[in-house]
Amino acid sequence: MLKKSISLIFFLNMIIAYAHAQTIDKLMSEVRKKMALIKDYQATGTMKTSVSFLKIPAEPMTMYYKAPDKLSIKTSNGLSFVPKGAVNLNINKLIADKTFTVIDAGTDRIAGKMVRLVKLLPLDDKNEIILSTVYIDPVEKLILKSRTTTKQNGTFELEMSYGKYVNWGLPDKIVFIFNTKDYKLPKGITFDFDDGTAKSAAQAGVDKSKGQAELTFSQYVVNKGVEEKFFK
Amino acid sequence: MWSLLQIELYKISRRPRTYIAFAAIAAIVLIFQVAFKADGQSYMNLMLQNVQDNFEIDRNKAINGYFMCYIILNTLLVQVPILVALVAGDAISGEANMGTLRLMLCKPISRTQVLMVKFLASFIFTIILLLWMAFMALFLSMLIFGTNDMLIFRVKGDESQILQITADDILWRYIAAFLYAAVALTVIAALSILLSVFAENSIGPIVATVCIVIFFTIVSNINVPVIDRNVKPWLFTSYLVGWKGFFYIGTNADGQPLKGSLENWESIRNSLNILIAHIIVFLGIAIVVFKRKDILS
Amino acid sequence: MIKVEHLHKTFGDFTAVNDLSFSVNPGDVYGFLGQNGAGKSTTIRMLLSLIHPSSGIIEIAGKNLTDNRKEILSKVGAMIERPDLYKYLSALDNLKLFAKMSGLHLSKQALINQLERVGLADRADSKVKTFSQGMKQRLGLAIALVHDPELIILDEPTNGMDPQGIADIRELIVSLSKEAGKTVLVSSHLLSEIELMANRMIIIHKGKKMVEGEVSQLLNPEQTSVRLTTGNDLIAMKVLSASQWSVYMESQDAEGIGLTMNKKLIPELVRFLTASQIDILSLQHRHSLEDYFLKLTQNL
Repeated sequence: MLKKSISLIFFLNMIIAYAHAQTIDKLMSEVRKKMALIKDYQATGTMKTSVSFLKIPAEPMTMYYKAPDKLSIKTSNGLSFVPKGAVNLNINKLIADKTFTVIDAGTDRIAGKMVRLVKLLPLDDKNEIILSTVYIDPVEKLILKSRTTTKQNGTFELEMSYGKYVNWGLPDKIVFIFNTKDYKLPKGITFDFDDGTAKSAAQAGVDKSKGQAELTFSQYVVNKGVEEKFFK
Repeated sequence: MWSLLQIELYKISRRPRTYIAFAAIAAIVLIFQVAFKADGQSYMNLMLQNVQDNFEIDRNKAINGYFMCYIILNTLLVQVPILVALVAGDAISGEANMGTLRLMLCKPISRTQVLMVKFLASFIFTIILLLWMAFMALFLSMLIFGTNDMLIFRVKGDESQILQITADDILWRYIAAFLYAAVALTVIAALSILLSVFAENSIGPIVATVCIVIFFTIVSNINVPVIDRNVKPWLFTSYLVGWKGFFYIGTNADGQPLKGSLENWESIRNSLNILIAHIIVFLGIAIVVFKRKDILS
Repeated sequence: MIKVEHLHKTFGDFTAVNDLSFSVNPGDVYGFLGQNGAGKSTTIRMLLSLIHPSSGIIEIAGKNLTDNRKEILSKVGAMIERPDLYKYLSALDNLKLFAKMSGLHLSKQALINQLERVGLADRADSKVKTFSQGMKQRLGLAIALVHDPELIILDEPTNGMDPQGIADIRELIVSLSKEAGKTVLVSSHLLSEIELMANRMIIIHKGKKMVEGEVSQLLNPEQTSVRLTTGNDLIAMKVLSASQWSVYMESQDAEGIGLTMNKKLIPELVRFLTASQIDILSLQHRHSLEDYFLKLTQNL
């Protein structure tokens, strides 16, 4: 009985794996097709950065995109900390790029929803990216998450949530998780006022090696053209 | 009393050494401004360190008038006690040295009055010095560097932090900080006057004040837990930098700064109370000693 | 005007003033005589409440100094030792500041008039750092007088002055008493100076009163001591002993012959000795008080 069950499961798995293998290229091409709808966009929203050592306010920002690979984030007049990996928010580029080997990595669940895992490996050794794992909603043909390991900047993750602009395949929210290096000012340089609360205030359980930027978009202007000046 | 205060202020205003303080402040501020205008980027790079690996930051915007003022005050407020001592330390002993103290004290004025007037004059000098600093370090910097959001680089316990305060949330903090600095420097004035009561030359109390401030500051910066816990709270110099508390902006649970908030108003208030207590104690001792003193100079 | 009773002041083990009592009457020019370190300055500072007495009572204008300090000090003008004043201010500004401290707001002209009195009007606008000691002394005097006090206390006012200056100050002090009816207490270590100004005086030594009284009595010309040296003192002695001068004779030793007599008789004595064919080598006279004072000084 037990033996039978095991062999059944094994068999079923085989079928699913086969089915995956069958459809992964198709899924990728469908995702690419959906992306191709977008020539450019201008998205307004806010950027909220959470890094343990950074206490900076959420800030209004505008993101500009122009196919195939131009992306920039502009903030208002104030001072802003724009995550450098922002360029990597351009997951489109990654997907569209044909210089990657696409490997089916099975399935997973995100918020109860079944997703397909795709691993992308660069063909070229010199590529900054070592490996990227993309989580794709096979029904909506949307990228929900990606995890990319780079040579220089460690691993970063992107998590996309969709809403109003789901038809365009544009997220309402992107959470960008990146590695941060420890920030340490030399003691004595700042002559700080010690109010005696430092010890108790040191938050426990905060992961100091990870930072997060949360971009929430309230409005997209799609395919209306974006001037070149925004990418300088 | 008012007429005596006028006399004191007149004497201070006519003394060349008074202007050393103003010239020194102007010189230090101008050097800062020129240096940062020329190469503020290097300083920013030093402070931002590897933050720049993760973030794109417009360093030109970061070096603005508000930031400059903070950097200047950071350095200057460590030195200003010397300038306050220069005037307050001379208050009684300088007169003793010139032989005018005995002439003053055989006028129909009580010694308490003389001492209070000396203290008030030193206080007013301190305020004017701070106004001058505000003009040079804040307003002139705002003119030269413009205004923008401000970054505060801070070491809190074992952690280093970068705080960002938006441009529209800064000016009141400076006003509060200058008021706090006024109280802090008044402690120095009161201490100098106290030491001045004991001396018959002006160099002694000035040097003694400066030595006490330097010694206490060094001790309170040793950063050994035993000292941090047991000694530091008792040194008034630990509270001199409390003006910075107004720039430690409060944050919500997400670490987002809250406009118009302070991280720890309680501690600023406590520090203020401690400083004011020091003023009262120093001045009280000075009055008692001065009243009992035989004027032999 | 001033009444001091059993005044004591000790600094640690050192007794600066020891059971000192004296009184100054209204209108007096009171000489306060003592060598340097006798306790003059300490006493004067106690009169001005600059030094707190260890014990004893000071009354000025009939009131206890400790209890009525402000009221009393408003009627007192003082100059203590060499005042250095505010060097970076002009003479006029110095005077103005001290007038203000006494609660007076005088016009520039009134201030210049005060400077005129001490001969400084032409230097009114000069900074005090350019002044000689004598000029500072004059300015100090002007400061002491600026609020028209009833009692003027001057500690060694002529110290460091040139002879003309000394004479000027002396004249001013005498006129303050005689013409303005002020009471003046003036200290000095020179008897000759006190003799020329004061009507009453005290001599203190090591903090103690040695003698107090009217200058005219203390410096009675009857009490002049004369020291005589001649070609042959033995013969001179014999001649004098045999004459009416014998009553004045006091002593004879290697330093000469000592007599005590009225100063006015000296010319007659000289004529007598000359007539007696005695060669006078020297004749010195000084008052017995001066002798006494000199002895005190030499004891130090």
